[in-house]
Amino acid sequence: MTYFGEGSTANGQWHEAMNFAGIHTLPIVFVLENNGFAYSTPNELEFAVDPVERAATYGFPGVLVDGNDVEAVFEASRIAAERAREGRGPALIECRTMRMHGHGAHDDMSYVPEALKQEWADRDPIERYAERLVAEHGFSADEVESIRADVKTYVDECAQKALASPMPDPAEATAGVFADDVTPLGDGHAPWSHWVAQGAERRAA
Amino acid sequence: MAEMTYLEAISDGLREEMRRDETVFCLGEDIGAFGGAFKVTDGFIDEFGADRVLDTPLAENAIIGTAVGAAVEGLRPVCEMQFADFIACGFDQLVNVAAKLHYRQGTAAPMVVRLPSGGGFSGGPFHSQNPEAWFLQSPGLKVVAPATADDAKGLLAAAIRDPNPVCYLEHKGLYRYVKGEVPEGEHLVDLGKARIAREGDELTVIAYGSAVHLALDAAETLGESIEVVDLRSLCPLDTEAILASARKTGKVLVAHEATQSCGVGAEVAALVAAEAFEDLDAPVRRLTAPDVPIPFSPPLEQAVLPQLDDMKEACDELLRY
Repeated sequence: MTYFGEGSTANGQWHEAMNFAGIHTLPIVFVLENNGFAYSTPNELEFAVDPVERAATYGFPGVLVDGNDVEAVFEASRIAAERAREGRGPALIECRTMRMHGHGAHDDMSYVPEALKQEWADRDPIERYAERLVAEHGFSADEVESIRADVKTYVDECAQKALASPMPDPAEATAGVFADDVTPLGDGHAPWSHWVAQGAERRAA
Repeated sequence: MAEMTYLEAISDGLREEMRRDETVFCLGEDIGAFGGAFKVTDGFIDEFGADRVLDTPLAENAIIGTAVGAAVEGLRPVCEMQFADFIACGFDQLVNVAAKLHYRQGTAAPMVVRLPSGGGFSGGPFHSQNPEAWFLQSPGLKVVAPATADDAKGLLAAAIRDPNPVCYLEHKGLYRYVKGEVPEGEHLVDLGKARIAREGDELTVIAYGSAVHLALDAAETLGESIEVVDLRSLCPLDTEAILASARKTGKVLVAHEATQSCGVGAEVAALVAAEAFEDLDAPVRRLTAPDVPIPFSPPLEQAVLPQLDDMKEACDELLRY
């Protein structure tokens, strides 16, 4: 599974990757996070046809989901991943969502209309799923709050650890440009073998 | 040993590595049944199959990007750019992804990009370039440029076994023009080691690729004591060999077919000026193409690319300095 923003779909490399994946029926799930803006550039200045429509022209399915609906995203991912594991090739999932902060810390998002920000704030995926866990999946409000507190504690701990970590030694700035040896991520026996190994294990389990 | 052309030596090196290591595979345009535009992979598909001699669409970023993915997974991809010029279309994956991967996250990308380069055949501005300086400005890429059949095989094998992305510049003008004895079977030439192609005391010509042959021919014709250093690797650069020869002769000409500004010649000249200034008897000179695209018209191309007479003149000027 590989994730990218809708901004990248305007770049030629995106086309090259989709085309290559289609030609070789590669086991890839392309996850497109369309958050409405490439930095400040809105969708209508990014493409004339929604990128999910292009999937068919590369020979594989594209599906549009509400990116702020946890179960919709999960279900689309599950189907696409199964399809890939079965050797039926790639799929493109477009998740419609919104970036709720600037492109960077410097960016006040002045280009996003207030009404649009509010519309998406009301569709917060975490809040929506917290409500759904209680309404449809038998969780108590306390359990949901407990999960929320655990996650917050974990994130805070990670942030504290990062802040407490020493800055790198300036003497290391020129180290590591070249590798001295190779530790492969996969098992190295065939193209895309890592996937085959992983898929085989998952099927066995 | 067997006598081979430079082209046959490239094929032989690639074939040997593919036989030795099943993780080595090739990908590029028209390299399969067609055997490549220059026939480097002629017959490979019959021996190794279509999965290891992978024909790609005309999509250089996809070629390089696929190679990066395969390399980090444990394979040893060898990409063929049909012409070195076409790397411009795959530049992002090469200089921004492959080159920086180890520095950014400690992941090695052992891959080779074969780059048929050089002019002299009226290929025009899109099929004749010597783009090595692009890669030398991109930390994380190794760059080699063999001049002989022996080195064409040995440097390719070493590049394939190197844990880093290596740009392998193969000069098209040398493909069938250069022949030589090449070791059969396994043959490796270390990256980063220059070769003294000819010994001499009066002048050093530092060259690589096609310019090595111009320098050797000029030295023979002039009958002077000219030392010719064949760099073989442009990154890593064999600074010791360069400085040793500069100190020995006191006069240095750097020669290459690539354009002049900010090229290898500039780098070598700066190195010699900084480290061997006291040993110099003359300013360091360069013989290169001027800063123009390679023209299509034969007389214009000949005027742009360094010729034997240009080399003789440049050597003669420095010898008489």
